[in-house]
Amino acid sequence: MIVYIARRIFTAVFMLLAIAFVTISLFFGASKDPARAMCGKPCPPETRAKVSAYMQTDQSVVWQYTEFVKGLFVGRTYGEGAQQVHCHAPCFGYSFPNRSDVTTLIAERLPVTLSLALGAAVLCLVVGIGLGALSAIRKGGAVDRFSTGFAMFGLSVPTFLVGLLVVQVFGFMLNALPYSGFVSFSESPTDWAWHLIGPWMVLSFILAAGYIRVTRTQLLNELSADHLVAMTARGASTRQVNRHAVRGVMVPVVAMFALDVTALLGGSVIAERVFSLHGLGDLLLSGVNESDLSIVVGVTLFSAFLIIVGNLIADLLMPLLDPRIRRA
Amino acid sequence: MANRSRRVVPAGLALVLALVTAGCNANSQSTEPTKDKNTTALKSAPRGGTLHYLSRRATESFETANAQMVPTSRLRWVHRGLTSWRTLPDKDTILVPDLATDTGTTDDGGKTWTFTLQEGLKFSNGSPITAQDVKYGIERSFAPMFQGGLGYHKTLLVGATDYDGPYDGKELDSIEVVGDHKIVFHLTRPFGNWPWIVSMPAFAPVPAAADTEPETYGEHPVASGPYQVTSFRKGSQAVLDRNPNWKADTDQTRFAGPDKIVLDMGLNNDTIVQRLIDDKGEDKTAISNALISPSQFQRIESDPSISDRMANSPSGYFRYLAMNVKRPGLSDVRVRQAINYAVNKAELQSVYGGPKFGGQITSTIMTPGIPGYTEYNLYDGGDTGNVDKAKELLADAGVSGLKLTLTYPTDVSAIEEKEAQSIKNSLARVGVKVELKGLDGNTWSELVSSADGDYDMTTNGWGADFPSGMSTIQPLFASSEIDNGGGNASKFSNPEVDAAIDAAIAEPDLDKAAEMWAAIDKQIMEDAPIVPILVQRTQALAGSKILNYFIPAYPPFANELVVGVDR
Repeated sequence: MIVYIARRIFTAVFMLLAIAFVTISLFFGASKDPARAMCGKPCPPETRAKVSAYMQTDQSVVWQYTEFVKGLFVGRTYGEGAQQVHCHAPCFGYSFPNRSDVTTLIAERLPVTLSLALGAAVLCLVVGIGLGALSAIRKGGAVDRFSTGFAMFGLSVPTFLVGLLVVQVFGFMLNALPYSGFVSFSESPTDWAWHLIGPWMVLSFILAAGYIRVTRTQLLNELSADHLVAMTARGASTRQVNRHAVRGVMVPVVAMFALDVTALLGGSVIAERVFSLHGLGDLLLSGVNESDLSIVVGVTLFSAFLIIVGNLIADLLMPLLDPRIRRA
Repeated sequence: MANRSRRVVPAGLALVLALVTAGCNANSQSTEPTKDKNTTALKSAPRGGTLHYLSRRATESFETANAQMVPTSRLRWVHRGLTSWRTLPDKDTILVPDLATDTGTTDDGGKTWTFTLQEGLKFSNGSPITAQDVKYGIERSFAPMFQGGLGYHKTLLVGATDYDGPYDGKELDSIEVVGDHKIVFHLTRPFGNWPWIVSMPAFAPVPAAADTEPETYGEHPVASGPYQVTSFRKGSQAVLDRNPNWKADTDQTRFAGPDKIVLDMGLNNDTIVQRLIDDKGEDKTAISNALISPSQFQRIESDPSISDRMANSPSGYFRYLAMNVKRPGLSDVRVRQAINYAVNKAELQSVYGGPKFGGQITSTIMTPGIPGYTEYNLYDGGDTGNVDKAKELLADAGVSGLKLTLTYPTDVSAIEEKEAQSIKNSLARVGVKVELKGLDGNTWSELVSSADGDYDMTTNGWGADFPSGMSTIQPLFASSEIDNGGGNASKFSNPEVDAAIDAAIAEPDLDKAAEMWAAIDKQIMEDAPIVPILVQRTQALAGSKILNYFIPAYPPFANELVVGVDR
């Protein structure tokens, strides 16, 4: 087990380094010049060169990469003397348009993204597994037909459409929900939830679709599996049979959930934009728009880190849920 | 700021253009009156009430060192400058003194400029506003941590290229302070528009003693204007209350009507527009920087209770087609003139939303409202173009079967693609085959601002930073603006024009300079390096209890310093 974990962590670190390199290369490959965006107006060549030197974007991709990796461990300093700005380790870079290091920016945005992701994850899990299980147990019934349709709809409509609809209907037409904004949990837990209901509904609606389908299919498979048929034949109660069946459902659901939650934690660009929430997705988008290399690399890497860690946790949980994996 | 849409989307603010007053209208056919109750300017705003500002920017700041906002914007609720702008719906924008007693004097033909501050002015913290504070504010804008912003002064002040700001104890000697109230600027060249330059954000006073944490100074600045920031939550909300030390009789441009201003930031653009359309609760006293999309015009237009609250600019941004004169297919002036005749501007006008919302067809470089703007049309083929005349010119040039490329940014808005398609269709009418090359915005802007750009034509937009040919003609047509990120997308290079531009820039008599720019405008168009297309309008919506909200001729933004709240 320890060897397995060590190997997985080693692979994860290698992956992250590779992702950082690819992101930096792609950024410069797309002929984005952060100095141009930060040069002001007018922007004569001397000014642009000065700005570029200060931001250290005048160096090669390989140099950028080495400095970035070094910065993660020992921090980075831009400029000289009284003009210095320092970015403490772990330094994901310094965002000049925001006059702040990226680590701080990520930390500022994380509560928003966390609130959004966790609420949506819980809601989609409850709705998804609930409806999925109900429709498997009463296959062909009203609930089954409704949830299959619901899932189909959720899978096929784009997030922004659902988001805009929720804002229009619940926000503007019914005046029932706030159409934008974020209140921190520590400030007021009720206001916090109140402001997030809209985005939670949108995200969980989109995500629940997958869980409904997986739960339903998996549960139907399990219920018709030989060992459960045998159990039923020997007079086990429905409750007992179902309990066994659920274990089989958990494996794919956990794997899927790990992916979804970590993706949500990396920021949900569209839901954040629609509801004027300033989480990581919004940060990444503004970084791309403003040619802000540090934000692009920092947020990408942070999201990749979450995805890798999330998958690692899911993989480690698997043997606990399924003895067959433990033995293999 | 070569590209208008690009600038407007992320940066939001900035600049420019002009106006069409009733008398100097470029195109009577396309003009419709844009008067509504909000275009009638009041001489003052009622005192009291709370003004709400809904901002689509992720965060707002009251930092002046790197700001790129016009002097009539919300930044100036808090900060004054040496000079400022007075705007009226139906007149040209004029420069007026702000902290200074006049708009500057020069006795050496525009190379040295002197300003004297009014006596008795105080900051919100009670300390007097001195020439030294103005100097320090300007010096801060040179610090590398404040890159960006309107930096004309950084290219004009003596010794500016080697100066890196005040934080290592160095001063910029070309900003000379005499006593508490006199400030003298020494420039590297005569520059007639310097009095306009000192209205820009970097010329707001900053007391050095208060600048202990430069990176966040803009969140809690010391105020010289009528309001001070009393609460600031980054990316969320700023609350402004009155600055008790500001005196109305020392200020010619700020009405300071509302008692309080609440600025909400980071809002979704479409949500803001929807809220302003709905006009409920506090949104009745709200203004914003949201952009109204063409799809919303119909809704607004159909309901007078909404359209009455919409300010529409009499003028706007310059939209044009640049022709790369260095390319073999376009090196003959007759070919470029033929293309001027061939383009169907009426179709392009409807692509942009028609005469009322989209803009007015134009045939000059400067736009109405920029001093010196004169209506003329060297290639008058009517609004839909003159195919015969174009064919004739192409035949004269001995050109047939011409193939050209047209590049444009694809990610700015879908309109640019329709615009390119329309131009392609126009030119097909005269036998010119156009290949469209849509590019990612960054790639596109690098391409059109480099010397050896591999393209024949590109669409482009422009807005001036201050009302002068200096801010419209020079950036687009001076040969120094070819390459290195310059805005000369036509690669137009004419030594006579360059000399005339230099002379106009130097001229300290701005009336005379305006005449010089008018002549240069025509001189360039004789070479036909571009096809002028439109003067694009801008629109903005306000709540039903907002007074005095209008977009002047120039700049194409509502003056946020003069709005009042109807209680």
